[in-house]
Amino acid sequence: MICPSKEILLAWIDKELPVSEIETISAHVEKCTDCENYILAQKKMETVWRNAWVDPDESDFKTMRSSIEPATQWWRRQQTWFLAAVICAAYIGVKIFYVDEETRSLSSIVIEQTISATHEDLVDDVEPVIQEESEETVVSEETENMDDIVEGQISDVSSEHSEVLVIEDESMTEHYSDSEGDLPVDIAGINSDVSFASTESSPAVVQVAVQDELCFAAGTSNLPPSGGAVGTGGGGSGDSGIGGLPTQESENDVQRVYESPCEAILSVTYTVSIVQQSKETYVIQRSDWDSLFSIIDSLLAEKSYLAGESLVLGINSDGFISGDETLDGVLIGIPRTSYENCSVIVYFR
Amino acid sequence: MIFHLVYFLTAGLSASEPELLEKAVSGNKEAFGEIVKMYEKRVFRVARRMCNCDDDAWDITQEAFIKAMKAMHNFKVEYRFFTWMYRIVTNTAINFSRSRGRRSEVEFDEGYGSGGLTSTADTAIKECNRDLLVKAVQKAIEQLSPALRIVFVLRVDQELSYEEIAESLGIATGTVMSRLNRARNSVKIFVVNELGCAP
Repeated sequence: MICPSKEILLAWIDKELPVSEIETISAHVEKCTDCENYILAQKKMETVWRNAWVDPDESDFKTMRSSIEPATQWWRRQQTWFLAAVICAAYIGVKIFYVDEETRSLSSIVIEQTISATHEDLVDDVEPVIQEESEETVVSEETENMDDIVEGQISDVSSEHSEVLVIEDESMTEHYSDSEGDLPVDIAGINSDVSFASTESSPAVVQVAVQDELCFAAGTSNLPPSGGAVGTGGGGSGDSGIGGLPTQESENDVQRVYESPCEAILSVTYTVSIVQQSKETYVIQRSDWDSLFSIIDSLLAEKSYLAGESLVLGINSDGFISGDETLDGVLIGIPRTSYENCSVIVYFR
Repeated sequence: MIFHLVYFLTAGLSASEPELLEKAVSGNKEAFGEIVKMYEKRVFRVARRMCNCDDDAWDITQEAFIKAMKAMHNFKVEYRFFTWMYRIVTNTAINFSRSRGRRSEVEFDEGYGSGGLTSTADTAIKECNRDLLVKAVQKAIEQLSPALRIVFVLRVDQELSYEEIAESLGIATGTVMSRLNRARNSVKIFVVNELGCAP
C-alpha cells in the first residue's frame, strides 16, 4: 500500500478524516514503520510544546482584569461625567441667575410701597442731604431757613402722611431763583406727589403731598447733588442737548436728589435731577414717579451704569416723557400733560 | 431585600455561559466580567503563543477583551463565543505583531523537505530531549508567518477542530488544512535543522 500523504496523516492525527478513511489509515499506520514514526514524531513534537505551557499567576490575571475594569466602566464614567457636567451647568446657571438677580436688585430702583416711613427715618434721610448741600451753599441763612422748612415738612409729613404741605419762603425764592426768577426749589421724594409751583412774582411754592407707604428723601436746592457728577457735558446754562434737553448743570436746573432709603437698594445710589425750563407748574404724580422709576429699573436691568455716568430721560412738550431718543437712546413715554420742557437726569454714583 | 441580595451575589456564579452571554450582550458588565474570567487564560495563551512575549501578550489580551466588550452588543448568541473571541485576539495579535515590525518569518516551500525528511529525522525527534524540543518548536513557530502561526496555534495548542479554526479565522476548512499542513511541515523542518539531525 502506498503511504498516504503527510496531509492525510496529519488529518488522521487530528481526527479530521471521514470515518471511512480513518479505519483505512489506521490499518496502514499499524503496518508502516515510516508513517508510524512520522506520526509519533509529530505527536511528540506538538505534545511537548503544548504541555510545556505554564499558566501565569492568578494575580497577573487579576491585574489584567483590573485594567479592563476601567474600560468596562467607560460608559459609567461617561455617565458620571455627564451627570457632573449637568450639575455644574445647573450650579453655574443658578449662580448666574442669582448674581443677575442680585445685580438687578442692587442696580434697580425698587419702590417699596409697603415701607412706612417713621418720623426718625424721614429726618435721618433728609438731614444729611440738607447739611451737605448747605455746606456748599454760600448763603447759609437761607439754607438754615430751608432746613427748618424741610424739617417742618417732614414733621408734618410724618404726622400726617397724606397731608399736602405748602411751603412759602421769600428767601428761598430769592436764593433759588435765577435771574429770570423762574426756578423754584427742588424736593426729592419717592412715592410722593410733588408739585412745583413757581411764578415770577410769587415766592417759590413747593407742595409736597406725601402719601402713605412713603420712601422719602428730600433735597432742597438747585445745587448739584452731593458727591454726584452733575451734567454730561454740552452747552452752558440752559443749553439743550439731544431733544432739547439740557445736558449740563445750570443754576436754572432744579435737581432732585434721591438716595434710596430702601434696604433692598441701598447699594445703588443715584441722583435724579428734574430739569425744568419753564415757569409753569409741574405736577408729578405718584403714579408717574412709579412709572419713571420702573423705566429706570428696566434701563438698569439692561445696562450697567458706572459711577459718574448719567442717564438723561427727556420729557417733551407734549407731556410725554420723551418720545424722542434720549442721550441713552431710550424711548420712554409717560403721558403727562403737565410736563413741559422737562427732563430727568439720573446720575449714578 | 435579602432575596435580591442573595440573587445578586449568586447570579454570576450560577449563570451558565449562554445566560452570561445574553446578559453581556444586553450590556451587563458583571456578566461580561464573568466571561472574561472564563476565557482569560485561553485568550492569554493564544496571545502569548503568537507573540512569545509576556508583556505583549498581556497587552494583546487586555486589548482583545476591551474590543470584545465594546463589540459585545454585535455578538449573536447563536454563534460560539470562543470562536468570536479567538478571532478578536487573533486579529489583535496579528495587528500587534505588525505594529512591532515583522520578524524574520521564513516561508518554507511546501515541497521543501516534505520528501526530504527521512525516518531518521523522526527518530531524532522522538529521542530528542524534551526541553530542547520545546525550544526548537517554539523557535520554529516564531519563524512562521502570522497566518500560518495562528492556524498552528489554534490547532496544536488550543486543539480546535478545522471547522472551529475556519470559523475563528473566517476562512474555509480546506484553507485551514492547507495552512496547517504548511505550518507543520515548516516547523518540523526548522526543528530538524535546529536539532542538527537534518538528513
